[in-house]
Parts: sequence; structure tokens; C-alpha cells
Amino acid sequence: MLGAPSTHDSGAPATGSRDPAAVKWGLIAATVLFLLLFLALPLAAIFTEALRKGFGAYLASFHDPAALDAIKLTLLVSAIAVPLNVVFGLAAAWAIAKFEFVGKSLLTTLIDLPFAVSPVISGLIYVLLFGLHGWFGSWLSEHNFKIIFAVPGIVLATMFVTFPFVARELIPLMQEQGSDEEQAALVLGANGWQTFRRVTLPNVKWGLLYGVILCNARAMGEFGAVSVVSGHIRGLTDTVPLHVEILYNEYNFVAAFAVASLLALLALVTLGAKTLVEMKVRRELAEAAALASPRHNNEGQS
Amino acid sequence: MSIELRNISKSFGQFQALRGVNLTVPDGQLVALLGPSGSGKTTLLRVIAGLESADGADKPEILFHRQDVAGADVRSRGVGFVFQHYALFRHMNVFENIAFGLRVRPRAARPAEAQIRERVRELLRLVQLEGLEGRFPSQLSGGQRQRVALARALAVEPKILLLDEPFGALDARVRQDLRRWLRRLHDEIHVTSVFVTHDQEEALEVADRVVVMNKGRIEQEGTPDDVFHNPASEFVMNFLGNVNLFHGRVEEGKAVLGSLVVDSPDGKKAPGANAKLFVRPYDLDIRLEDTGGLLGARIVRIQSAGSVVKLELLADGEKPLHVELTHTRFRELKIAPGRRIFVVPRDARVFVEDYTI
Repeated sequence: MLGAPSTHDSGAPATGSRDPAAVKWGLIAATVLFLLLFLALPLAAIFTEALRKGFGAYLASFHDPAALDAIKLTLLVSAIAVPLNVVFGLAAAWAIAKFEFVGKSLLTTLIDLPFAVSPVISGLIYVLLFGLHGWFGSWLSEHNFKIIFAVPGIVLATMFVTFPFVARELIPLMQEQGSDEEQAALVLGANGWQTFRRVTLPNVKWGLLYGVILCNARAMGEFGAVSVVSGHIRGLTDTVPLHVEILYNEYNFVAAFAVASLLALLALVTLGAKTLVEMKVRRELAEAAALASPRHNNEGQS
Repeated sequence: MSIELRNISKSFGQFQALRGVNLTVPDGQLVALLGPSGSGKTTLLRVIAGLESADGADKPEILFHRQDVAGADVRSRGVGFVFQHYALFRHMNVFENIAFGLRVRPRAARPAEAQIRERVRELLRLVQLEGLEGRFPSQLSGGQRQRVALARALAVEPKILLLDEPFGALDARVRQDLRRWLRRLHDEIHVTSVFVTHDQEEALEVADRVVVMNKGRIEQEGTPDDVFHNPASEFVMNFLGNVNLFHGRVEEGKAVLGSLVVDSPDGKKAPGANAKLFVRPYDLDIRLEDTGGLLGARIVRIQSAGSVVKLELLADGEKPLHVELTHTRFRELKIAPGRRIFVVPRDARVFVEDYTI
């Protein structure tokens, strides 16, 4: 019925095979249209607006010391947040994938928490904790530590929001790979560090890089949580996304879009790198599955 | 190097995997730990390696060459371990896999690069994998991975070699070849070896001694001949091959099972007790006429393709029986399905149920 028209019935219209094609092209057209409207058009708009007064004006936007400070701060924040999240992510993934303990599923859920809450809440948590009227606020001001409306607050908020990227990428990969190789290394006389550096880390290197790319993109682009804790002090606590907002609110459209184009470029580079690394990660996973295949044939034998 | 184990118990939560195991493995022997799933054999192997620690009330003792290593960690025990799924390092080629144990040694004990190369070449020759040193584990067949795992374990010159289901993940043909090869290899290098298997044929064919395990305990231990011909328990009898089971009673030193009567030395101690008679299919013979004390049966099926002729019978009382005859004996008898015949055990083992319970 649904197959190609039968040979003896050439008169009947081949609606069965024409309809799916129409559906297919209809869906593709809808998707492309949607992408153009909501993704390509804004992206083009950013660059058009940024270059509206010529390339000279575009470049001049970056000579503004405030813009340079914002770029520097964004780089600094991601340079602190990303490596720390790599360490925490590796530790969390290692614990969850290779050990059995009580509360493991709770921990796995907690890792996803930053994805579940609104970034504004993430920022507010730190204001409530470290703000002037927060839990530790008076103690901090007595000892002359400034966290809220200062760089440490921005780093903390960024780390909170970007925490899941590395861990979430590594957990399924490490679980699939199991801990047999680590045990083998141990029996062969390797110590913990040698096992990690020579066995565990190389096995997950592409997955780790993938997590780092996503983590970095989010760390540099985070707006909501950072906005709450930053205080928008120009030249001091302004990151690139915050700076774009300030410039826009000041009707400085060329400069706003010029700085925004940096974030857009970052997104494009991230997308490219992500695609490349994704292929490598898939290979890592496929290899893990292939090497584990005898296990599936041999289930239930102790 | 000999291995002595005393009071080895191990629990995983509610499940008790090992219950007070005592075992001695003589120096230079190849020993099989044989048992069904969940019998504790793999756990015992991992306790010997130090990958699991024994627990339980009595102080567990693990002696290598009469030295207690129960407190020593995996790294310092000097064992070679071949994992069930090989656990080869997937991102290292064959050469680096084998060299790993030498490369991670502390600087003072680490051989020079040239020595490492020489040792790896030697091992590649031993496991017949020359020319494959550049391959990655994913590019090898199951049998090749297995041999890389063995070479990697041997690279550190272990005093004891432990193998977990070494042939479990291979297909039947490769399995046959590889187990003969392992036996020859052991005769060559003579390192005390223990391997785990659930396959009785494998254990009986390869090992010097077989340790039959069940529910965390050792049921019987001995040479393959010993455990096969003198099984100490029903479990061992059942596990080491097909058996026919008859139920009956003990009367005056004889086990009486319907019309069958068999001598039972144990029976004198427990007159009137229930007895179980186990007969291997090849220990049942067939008579065409009833000469007394025989069991009548009807032939259901004959399967003569193979090294023996297998008969399926239905004995009186609708009890199914399996009989194996040689082709010579089968031709003599000239029997066909449907015919009524009589069965007599040539050899049998009687287990008298403990009367004290």
C-alpha cells in the first residue's frame, strides 16, 4: 500500500510516494526559514549595524578603554573559571563514574542544578551570601574583602553557571569506559597519578575538550548571573556582554554592535570547534562500545 | 611461588561471595577455579590479586611463598592479572600496552629504553604477535587482544599469574586453540597460575589442579582425574558433566532404586535413608533381554552423528534417561527408536542423604 506503485496499476496516481516528498521539502523549508529568521538574520544584523559607519568606526569602538577593560575582564574571568571547572568537573565525573557511594544519584542531579535555575537566581544566591546585608556580608566588610560588585563575585557567578558543562560531558563517557583499565594500570604497578595521567585522561581527552569549549563559550557570554553581582562599574566590573548592554542603552549603536560582534565571532568559532571535536568524541564512545562488546555477548557469567 | 589462602570471606552488602575459603596452590602449577555464576571464583581471584580485600570475623591470611601479603596493596604484590575483557589501554598501541608496566616503574627500577624495547619484542615473540606492535586494541581480534593482555601481564615478570575467564569472550574455535596454547605457554614459563572458568571442559583440559566452587565455598579440589572420577558431592557430579539421577532407599548396604539394586558402602551407616544414584550417560549399558535387576525403558530418539551415539530413553515411570554408546556397541545392538530395552549401570555413585538432619 505505502510502497512504490505496483506495475499493473500504472493509472493510479502515485500519491503514496509524492506525499512524503512534499512533507520532506515542506519540513526542510520551514526549518531553513526559521533558521534564517531567528539565527542568520540577527547575526547579519549584528555585523551590518557594527559596520554601518564604515570599518574605521568599527575598529575605533575597540579603542575605547572601557571596551578594552571589558574584554580583559572577560578573558580573566574565563581564564579562572574554565580551569577550575575542568578540575571540579573531572573530580565529579571521576567520583560518579568510577565509584559506588550513597547519594550518587543526588550528586548527579545537583550537578545539573545550574542548568535548572534561572541565571538571575544564580547571581542572587551570591548577593544573599556575600552582599553587604548577606550571611557573610558583615564579616567580609570587616576584613575588607569585596566579593559582590567586584571581580570575585563575577568569577563565582560564572563558575556556578558553567559548572555542569565539563562534568556532564565526561560522566557518560567515563561510565561507558568503566574502570577496568584503571585496575589494570594499578596491578601493573602504576600509582594514582600515573594512572590518571597515562590512562584516564587520554581516554577522555576529546570529551574533556568538548566540555571546555562549551564551558568557555558560556563563561564569556554569560549575562544574567554576572549582571546581578557585577554592579556595572565601568572599567572595573564590566564584562563584554554587560558592556554591550551599557553601550546600547547609551544609544551608541555602532560600538554596541561592534563589541557584540566579538561575541558572535566567538559563537561561530565555538560552533566550528565543537563540530570537529564532536566527531572525535563520537569515535571515543564508539571505541569504548567496541572494546566492551564481548561483555555484552557474555553477560551473566561471573 | 606458592599461594596459601586461609579464612577468606568476602561480602558485598547482603551477598556473601566467599565463606571461609582455604586453599593452597603449589609452586609452578596451573590451577583452575571452576564454578557457576555467583560461586565466588572471580571474587577469590580478585582477593588473591589484592583488587578486593577479604573481610569476615576470622583473620584472613594470604601467603605468597610463605610470606603474608594480606596487608600489601595491589601494586606491591607482584601479580600479573589478565582481565576478563582484557582491559587493554585503548589509546595505546600494542607495544605501549605491553611496555606500560615497565614504564611506570620508579626511575631507579625502570629499565633503559633499549631494554624495554628488547623485552617487549621478546614478549611479542612469545605470544606470537610480531608485526602487530603498531596496532591499537580496536584493530585486533578477540584472540589477539587476549594475547596482548597476557604479554602485558607477563612484562613485569610476575611471580603469580591470575586470569579471569581467559577464554570467556572468544568464540568456540579460537577458544580451543588458545587454551592448548596457554597450556604450552605455562609449560614453558612455569609461573604459578590461577585461572577462573565456568567451563568444566576447559578446566579439566588445561589445569594441573581443579578447584570446584559453589556458593562461596570450595566443594572439591584435586587433579582433573580425581574430581571427574571421584566427585565428592552431588554438586560436583552434576557440574562436571551430564548425569542421570535415580531416587531410592538404602537397604542393608545396598541402594534400591525400583528394580535396580546397587552396592553402597555408605549405606550401612544409614539404613532406610534416602539415596540418590548418579550415573554418567556413558556408564549406562543397554541389554536387549531382562536378566533381573534391570530397568525397562523405551527408546525415544537416537542421535548417531558425533563421536558417540546418544540415546534418549523413557524409563518405566516416564523417567527420561540419557545414554551414550560407542558406535561399535550401537552396531552390535541393532536398536531403533520405539523398541523396548533394559538399562544397567556399569558404574554409579550413590549419595546417601544425611540421616542426622
